[in-house]
Amino acid sequence: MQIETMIIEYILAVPEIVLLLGACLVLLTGPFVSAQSHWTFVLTQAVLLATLYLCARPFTGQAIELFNDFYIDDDLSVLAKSSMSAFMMVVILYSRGFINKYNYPRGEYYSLALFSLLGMMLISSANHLLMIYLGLELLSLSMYALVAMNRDDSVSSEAAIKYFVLGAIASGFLLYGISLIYGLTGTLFLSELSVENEIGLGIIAAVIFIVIGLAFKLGAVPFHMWLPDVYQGAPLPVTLLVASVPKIAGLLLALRLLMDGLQFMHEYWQQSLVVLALLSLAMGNIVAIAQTNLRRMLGYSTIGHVGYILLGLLVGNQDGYSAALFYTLIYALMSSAVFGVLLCAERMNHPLENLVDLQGLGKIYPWLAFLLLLLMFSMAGIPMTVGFYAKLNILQALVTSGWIELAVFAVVASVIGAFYYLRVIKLMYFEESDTQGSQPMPAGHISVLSIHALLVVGLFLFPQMLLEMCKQVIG
Amino acid sequence: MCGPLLCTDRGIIDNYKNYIDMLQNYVPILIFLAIALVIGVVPLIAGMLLSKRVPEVAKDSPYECGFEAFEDSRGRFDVRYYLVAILFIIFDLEIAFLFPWAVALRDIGIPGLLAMAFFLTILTIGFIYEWKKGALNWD
Repeated sequence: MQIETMIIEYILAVPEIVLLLGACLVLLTGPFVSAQSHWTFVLTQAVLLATLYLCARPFTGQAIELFNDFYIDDDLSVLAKSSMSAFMMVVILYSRGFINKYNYPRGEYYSLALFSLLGMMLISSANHLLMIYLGLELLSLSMYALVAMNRDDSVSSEAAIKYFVLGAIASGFLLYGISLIYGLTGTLFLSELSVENEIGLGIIAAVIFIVIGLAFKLGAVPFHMWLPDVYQGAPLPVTLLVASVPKIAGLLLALRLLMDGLQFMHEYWQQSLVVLALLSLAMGNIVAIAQTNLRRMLGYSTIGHVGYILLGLLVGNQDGYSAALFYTLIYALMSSAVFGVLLCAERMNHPLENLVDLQGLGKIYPWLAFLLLLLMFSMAGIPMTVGFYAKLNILQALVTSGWIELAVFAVVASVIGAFYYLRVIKLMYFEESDTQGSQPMPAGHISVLSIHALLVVGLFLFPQMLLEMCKQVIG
Repeated sequence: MCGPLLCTDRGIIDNYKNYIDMLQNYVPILIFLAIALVIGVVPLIAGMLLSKRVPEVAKDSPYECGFEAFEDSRGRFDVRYYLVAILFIIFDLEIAFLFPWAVALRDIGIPGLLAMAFFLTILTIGFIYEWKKGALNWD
């Protein structure tokens, strides 16, 4: 009996075990093969494919707690882990050309990406506050190292230092909140937190600390300082990585902490989230207008999107959580595709660093420009793209629970935000440029990117399945 | 309110006896402290009184090798010192984990053995990586 339960526990954790072994293998392969070898890339994709295959299973509606209840295996974690592995595969694929072109250390990039994915998977399945912290640190440390990878570039180093210091402060806040919770309730298990607790000043302070830590990690205003710098300063593949997969992990972090653990404190953290969401929506969308650097603009756009995700979270019921989950998945989809476009252009020696670089892209690379147009429409939330549904869902959840003022504010903010998304399109199609597009498109990159970007239209036409899934996993 | 000596109440006197008993347990520590004080102070005083003193720069400086104890903090030194220090800490921690593990090994049994084997494997992977990357070479 004892042995049987142990074996079952390890079987349920096989995706993580495979991922860990795979990450170690990739790390070891790096120094043993030549610097130009493609083995690390092939191995990484194989490991990710295996992880995806092992993670994905039909939803059962059950939650199994394992490893002395530290770990939980439920539908939410399955959806998160499979989508994160799939996104990571795409990210690695897009990154490859850039990594090869500029001779970045391959084994290190790939293995750090795998380790960060492991951290994200630990967060998604955590049922214990220390488990959450462990996963978060594994994710953050890999990210710091990745952002700092371009050591000779001062902008990159600055971004890494900022990211590291602010990330450490955020972890400190989170840990302080966790320690207060432990002192007041005597437990760190998320499922036990919500059982019986009188609400005093101490636990309110703990919740506020935890929300601050969360806001740092998500990049919500006023804890967003690191985000535009990292987007601009990090090497492009790292920006792609930072901008896509960890957003899902960030949402899972919020869901595990606020939904699974601190649901009984809902009315308290709701107020903090309202402030964070309002500030993020306003700041993200307005400041993005003033940016001239494309990546920095996308950084502020992320802050605006985080505001939307927080709006979904603060509703605090099944509608809100599933809307936030849907929004995050769609956002990761759009964001990774946008950076995929930037990486594709960079591979064709037409780097899109500043907004002016976009001039005339519609003439130079019409197909690439068209994909970017779709993505910009989707980010702005214009119908015929799935970004519209994502926003609609959030607004619906807000209105049905009586937050009409917030819904109005969110709509106004996204109308303001639409300006800078549409400016990208205007620059691409209505401005002239004397540059000529000479390079052929990298075939593998552009074909995956096309499917990826066209998904935003595909999911607009058939959103039902993903919406249902998001509803189903929030039990 | 009265101190233990002034009170005639039976219970308080009993308490006082308990108090003395409790203090008696600490007598060895008191003796230990006294001996430690003697061992610590006597050689110093003896050294001061009996030894010849010939001061010299190298003798008076805190360290005879390594960095100057006080200098401009913006001075440069080789970044490889950090690398060595970081690599050292990993194995230092390994030892720090191994000692309590070894003491508790009988109680934690096979799972404990496997867990430590796993931990050492991970460390070894890191070690192979750093070796192969040339982090252990000074040049």
